[in-house]
Amino acid sequence: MNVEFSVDGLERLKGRYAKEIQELQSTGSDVPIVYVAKENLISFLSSIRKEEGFELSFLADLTAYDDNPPLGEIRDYGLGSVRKESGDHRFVVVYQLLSLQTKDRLRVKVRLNDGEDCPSVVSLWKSANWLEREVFDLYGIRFTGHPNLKRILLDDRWVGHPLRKDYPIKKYQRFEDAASLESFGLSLDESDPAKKQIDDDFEEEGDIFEGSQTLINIGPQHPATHGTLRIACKLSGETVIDSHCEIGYLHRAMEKLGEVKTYHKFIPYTDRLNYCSALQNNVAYVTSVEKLMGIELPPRNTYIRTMVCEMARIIDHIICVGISAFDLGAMTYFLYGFHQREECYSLIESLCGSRLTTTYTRVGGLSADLPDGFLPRMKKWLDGLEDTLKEMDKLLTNNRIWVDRTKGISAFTADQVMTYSMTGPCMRASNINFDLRRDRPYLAYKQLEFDVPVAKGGDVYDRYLVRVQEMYESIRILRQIIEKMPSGPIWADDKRIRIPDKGRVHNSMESLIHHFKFFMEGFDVPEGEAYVPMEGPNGEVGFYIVSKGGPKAYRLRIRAPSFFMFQPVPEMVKGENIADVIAAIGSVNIIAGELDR
Amino acid sequence: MPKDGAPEVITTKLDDFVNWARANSLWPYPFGTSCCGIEMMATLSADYDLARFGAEVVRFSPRQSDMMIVAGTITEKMGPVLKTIYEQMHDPKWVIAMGACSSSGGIFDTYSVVQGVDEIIPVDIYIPGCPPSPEGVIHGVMRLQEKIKKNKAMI
Repeated sequence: MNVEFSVDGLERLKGRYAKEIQELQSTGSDVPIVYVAKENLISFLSSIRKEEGFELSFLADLTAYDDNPPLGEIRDYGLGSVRKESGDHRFVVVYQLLSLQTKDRLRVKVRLNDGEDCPSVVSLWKSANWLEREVFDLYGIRFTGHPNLKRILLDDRWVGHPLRKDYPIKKYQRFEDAASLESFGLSLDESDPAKKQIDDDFEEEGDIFEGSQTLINIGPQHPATHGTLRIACKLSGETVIDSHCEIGYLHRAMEKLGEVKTYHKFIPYTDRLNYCSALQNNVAYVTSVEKLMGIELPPRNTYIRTMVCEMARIIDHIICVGISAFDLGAMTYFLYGFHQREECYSLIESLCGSRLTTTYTRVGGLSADLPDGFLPRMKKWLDGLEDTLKEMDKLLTNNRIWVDRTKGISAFTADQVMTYSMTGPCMRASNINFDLRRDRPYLAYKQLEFDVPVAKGGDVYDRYLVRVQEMYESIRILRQIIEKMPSGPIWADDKRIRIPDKGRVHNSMESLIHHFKFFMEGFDVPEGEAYVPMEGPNGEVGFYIVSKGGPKAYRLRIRAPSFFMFQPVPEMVKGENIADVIAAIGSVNIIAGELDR
Repeated sequence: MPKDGAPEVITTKLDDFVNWARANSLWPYPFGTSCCGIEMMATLSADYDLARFGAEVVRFSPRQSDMMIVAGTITEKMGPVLKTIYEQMHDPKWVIAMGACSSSGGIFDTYSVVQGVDEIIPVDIYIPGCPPSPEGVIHGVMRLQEKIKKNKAMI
């Protein structure tokens, strides 16, 4: 496990911000925690993002948890260890900061009473806009200075705040009609002289639609959104002059489920977050739990996990590139790419018995070791895949229609990427050379050789190029893994998490009881909190778990990259043609499952 | 055609003829929301090829399609949208609930998820699985074809 913050850095932090910091907790292997009074929050955050030596200028995440719920009101909601905390605060707002220079992380917390407001940090990071709206939606914490503090995941008419501990998980609320286009705050400019002109002289020569304004609704059920996104665009002619993104059409309450399910029972839910790369989510989730428990993994386990992460990256990139090309009319990539995906799916199926929703990892182990002949099969698949990729490269990369449709479209500069907290291929396409696999190596990445592709333009074409190059790098990594795959156990040597062998469960009563208790009651995880960021196919994916002991997480926050990718879309497509909106959405690869959670 | 050029005649009942035509030219409307949508894409793409069952003409306009495949979780926020789209489809129309979520809410028994799309629209075929494999989807379509062939609406 790597230490997330240097020791002398902590000392300097203490000295430099003695006035602002209320309390500083060093958590050993995890990120250090700093408590700040809400009056000092803005000055502290704006100072530390520029301060020499810290430069914590990237807001990786912003969330909250219900630390001190009113105990009298909570009946048996199946929640874990809810108890009275010291102090009279109710909520804790959490800011996860990251420095791209030192690669250090810091967790800033603010304690709030029930009904108390928190200062908004939208002026520092634009990504905080949606994050704060989400906290308001799910916890009811108001942020002063926020430009548009409305519900984001749930309907505006919703009553209550579901992630509060006193909101029952099965309290449904149904509304008969969907949100109307008018409710998004995009209105046609009636005083627009061009529009008036058209109404008056309809008979005039020339393009009658020139300068006229139209509202267009895309989604939530539209072929080009590949999911449940909704974008309302205000057009002038064919040019997008304003747009609004509406999300929450696939909000399945994953984070609430994380609080009522035991640690093992939550693993299947992680598959359904980013269902294009379920294996990556499986690995990221159990690694956070293992960090809380202090479990060390055997080498074979880390290699297999690295392998499945790279397989997930390839199939995710194939679907992203294939479908965004499909939307722009290049159907071949989709059909050929999907064939290679099917080959990978049959490999995954032989590994864990399921194609899409894998549930492959266990805390401290894996559901099964590699089947016989797996690595030779994978080698064969990699050869076929490389050939297909080269063919596809020829088909698209220099294709004039493809280049015309994608080059210079929805370009983002490095500064825009930073303020919107975008990670992954979209970040690297905008000339920010940052990859957690290389900069904070986890699993077996330290022993493997690979390059990190970076592009300069930040447009749709560059995002495509970065994704394609990453697939080649993944093939390179997988080939090394095939060579280096160590033998040995796949399970960590730890009694707390060891699942009894099926053979013994069927034959001995003690094992059967052990098995029963293990799955019905779960295992105890010590108090503390952990966040293990990983470089997913789409960007930084991580599970921030707050544990107060017991078999269930107290708070399970999912840091999903898609949420950060969709927010900048209005800024990306402003001034582009309506047809380019589709290219832009395809290039940032938004998966609704993890967007809405 | 016989060698002497005489036209061939098949005698059948009108019901059977219409049902035969309907069952073998289903036009799917893919209401894909989540994981099942990916498996539905796999079913429609080259390896599994739903075209072999006459159902490859995917139409994203409800007015041009007659078989809605609800693939994925339907949330309370999405429910009204689903209903609107269903009502826009012309009769005769059929609905396949693909996967556990659209059949019963699946593993998401939570405040924001509709516990089965049959709370909102009528469903003809339920396909189990989370998500169902492409073979399962094809099986579901074939069962729907059987159902259509038993239809007695014409006479």
